Amino acid sequence: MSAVRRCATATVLGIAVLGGVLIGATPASAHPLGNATVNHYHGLHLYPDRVVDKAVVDAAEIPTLQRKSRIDGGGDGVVDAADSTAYAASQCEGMAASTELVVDGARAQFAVISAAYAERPGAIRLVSGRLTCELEAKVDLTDNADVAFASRWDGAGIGWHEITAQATGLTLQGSPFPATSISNELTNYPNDLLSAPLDVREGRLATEPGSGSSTYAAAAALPLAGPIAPLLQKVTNVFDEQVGAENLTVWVALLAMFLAVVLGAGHALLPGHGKTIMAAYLVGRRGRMRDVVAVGATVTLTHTASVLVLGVVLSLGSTLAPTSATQTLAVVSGLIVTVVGLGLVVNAVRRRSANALAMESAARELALVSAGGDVPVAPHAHGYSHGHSHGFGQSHDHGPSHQHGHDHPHKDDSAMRRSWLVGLGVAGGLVPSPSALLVLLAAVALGRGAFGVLLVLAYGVGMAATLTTAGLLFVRLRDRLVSSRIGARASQLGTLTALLPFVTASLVLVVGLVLTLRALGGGL
Amino acid sequence: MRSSSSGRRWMFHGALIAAGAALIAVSVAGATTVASPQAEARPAPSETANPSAVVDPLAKDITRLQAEVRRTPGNKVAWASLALSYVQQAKVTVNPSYYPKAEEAVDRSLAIDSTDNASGLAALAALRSAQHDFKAARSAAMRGLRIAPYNATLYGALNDAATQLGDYREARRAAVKLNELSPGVPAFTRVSYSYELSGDIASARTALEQALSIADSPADQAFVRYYLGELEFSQGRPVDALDHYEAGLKIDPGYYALLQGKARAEAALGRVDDALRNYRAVVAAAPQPEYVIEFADYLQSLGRTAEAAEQRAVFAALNELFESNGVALDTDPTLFYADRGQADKALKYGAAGIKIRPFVEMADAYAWALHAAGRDVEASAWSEKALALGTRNALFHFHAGMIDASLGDEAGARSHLTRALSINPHFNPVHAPAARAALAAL
Repeated sequence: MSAVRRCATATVLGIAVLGGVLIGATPASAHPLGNATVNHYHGLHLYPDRVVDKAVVDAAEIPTLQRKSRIDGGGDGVVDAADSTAYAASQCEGMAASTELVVDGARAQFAVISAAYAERPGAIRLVSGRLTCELEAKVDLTDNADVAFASRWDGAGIGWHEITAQATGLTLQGSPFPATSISNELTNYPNDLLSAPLDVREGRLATEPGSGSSTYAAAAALPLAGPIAPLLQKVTNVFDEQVGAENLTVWVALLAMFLAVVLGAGHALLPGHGKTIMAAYLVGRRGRMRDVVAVGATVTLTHTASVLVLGVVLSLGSTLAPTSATQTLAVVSGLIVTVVGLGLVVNAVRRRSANALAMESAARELALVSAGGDVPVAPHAHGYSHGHSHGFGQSHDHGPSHQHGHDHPHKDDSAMRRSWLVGLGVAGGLVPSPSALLVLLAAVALGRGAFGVLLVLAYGVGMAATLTTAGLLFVRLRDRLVSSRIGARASQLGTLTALLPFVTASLVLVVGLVLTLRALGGGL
Repeated sequence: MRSSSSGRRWMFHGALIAAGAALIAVSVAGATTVASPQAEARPAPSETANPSAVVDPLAKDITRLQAEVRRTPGNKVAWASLALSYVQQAKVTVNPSYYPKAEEAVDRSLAIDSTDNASGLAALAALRSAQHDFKAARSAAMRGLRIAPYNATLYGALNDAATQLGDYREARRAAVKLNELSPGVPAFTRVSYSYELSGDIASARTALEQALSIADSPADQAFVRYYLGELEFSQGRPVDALDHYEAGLKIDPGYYALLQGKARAEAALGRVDDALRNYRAVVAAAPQPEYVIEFADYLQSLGRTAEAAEQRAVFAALNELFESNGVALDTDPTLFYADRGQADKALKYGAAGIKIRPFVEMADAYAWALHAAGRDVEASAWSEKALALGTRNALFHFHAGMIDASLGDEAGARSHLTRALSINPHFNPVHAPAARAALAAL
């Protein structure tokens, strides 16, 4: 034939048609993968002293025709009993020689116990051929043993490849092979729309002396920790159904948004690091409401941004393994926390020596304001007595901004504080939660990218809400603590509050280091 | 001093965010190879006898999409994407069992939404093209484009269908549009084919080399290598072709089309043992009618008549399997029976084929069938149609030359036969020597 390049579709006409032919034409005896296939089955049976392999090779019409001159040894055009016997013997010898069985690192040799070949009518006037080989290998499995098996015979073409394993007088541990054949030894192939043709050619298992059962290592669902997890899983399922629903009505959209918020809030409740750091920070630095909100907002924005970036890249390239990306992000997150912690420690040490006294008076002031009851939540907790320059620095205009009441050094400190807060927020939001990523990708796959972005944002808001609530609770708790005891133990508290920043800064640093190490170790 | 200190902190603050963003980008970029989007003409690495072969992103896609439609069975886009992946997997792994699955997945997608479902129509178009129902493929692509006028996949499907239907202008327009919307491997390979059909080999090669330079996944690279090999071989450069096939096989050892090309190039270079070994491997693993005929011709040229007859029996069986289900292959059986002198059969397949697929290849095959039946005047007209685009195809010119010779047009015969052998002296192991003999006899 000429070497004319055809368009990609044209070259596969044959296959397309062949596929249609097979499925449609001969339902009773059809090979689901087409009549150009060679299908393989190995039924392993392990005993303490031997491994028996009942092997079947089911060749469809075309390969059987291609092998005709080899099968028909007499060359008379008819495959008689003698031809079948001779062909089966030679094929099974070949299979015994090429099939790999390795017990504790040592190759065991299969021998042919029996061999049979039979043809049966197939499509049009063609036949298909079924080779059955019983192989046996003498091995010692009386003690714990490691057994590896690999089918290497005649497997170049397309076809079904199945292996089963059972045991008598032994227990199979972590067997990759089920005990029973889902194709009933290549006589009845399942052909589910959502399953790929079986292609199992090798595997490894461990044996123990004993009962004779098998633990088939089927794929398990990803485990989620904690009591909240099962509930969250349920919410996730409801959510997925809603987003995947065909007609996205306003109500469904609102419901989806609401569920995204709930999911985000729930995610923030699961074991993690964000809350710990934030709580420690806020307690230590006597955070204000706006600090709490700042962290929450940064978490939301960073989280949304990182999910979006990862989502965009993921939808561009499907070859990315998301776990490797999230692991890297976890390392980055850990490093940022470490850097922030380091900065806080340095800060705390410096400030403490410079402002120990001022702090004490600030604590007193704070308590007074709080006790006066006019500011219910958090007074401005700048922590350092730079003095309030109301009426002093007249050049400022007294706008609504809180900061305008303070002189420049304080502003400087605010900027500093903001940068730590942003750092913490970035660290808290940098690792995209898989569920948020899933939400986005699902929405993108549905052609609702914009809605997906909205959902991720809602998810971040949910996260931030939990974090903020937790932060506010801490702030309130601390205020109570301060106001109830301040009168009696002002000086003691002063010492305590002066120490706290240093302690919590160290805590943040330690958490950062632990997170980094954990991420590097792969235990995300 | 104050402002500088404050500025420094804001810089730190900004740097923190920038560093975070950069690290996201770097970590993500490091972990991924961005695949060409929507490349339904692009096969991915196959399931191979060698389990340690390249990781198969297509299989991963399929697993992911299967999980997705299980979770959201009402998701028309996921069903359509799954259907496209099944079609692609069928092509790549030469595994027909994926076609009925693709059909069912397309049905599911279109059952969910039959009016506003561009993805479903794109999948339908790809599937129908793969099944050689090009009219249905074109109409599905056009329907889709009315809904989604900027869908690159649909332009790809339209290009494929229009090419096979002989509407080269529409095909070219679709290829240009595809290239505008989504320049990448699928666009460049289609543009290349368009050039090749018009005889502009240099541009066809440039487009493929461009495709190779941007092909970053192993699947894309192997795919482009195959077409570069095919292009070089068709222009009489088996050494260059062999280089491409081997480079492709290094990337994906389970790509049977590459192995078949390699066998053909080795045959042209006189490496008989290699050629035989590789041809045998190909027809055992992927007995496509086209491969089987080619192997039969090669065995014939080596004087291995009995083995050639065996392969021809396999082809006849394949052909009969199709026929018993009401499906006629077109170019392959037409040329096969015309070569064997079975004019009636050749004409039957040729006449049916030209209706389904009025493509230059089919016109050439039909001309050859008419020639076998002794109807050389009609044959000449069809042969002219086959060459009307200026395609540099040695087999087309060989057929034209032999038809001219039968008509007594010695000048025409000499010109065509000379041209056939100058384009590719190895165009066919049986016909190339026949062309030389005929030329000598003129």
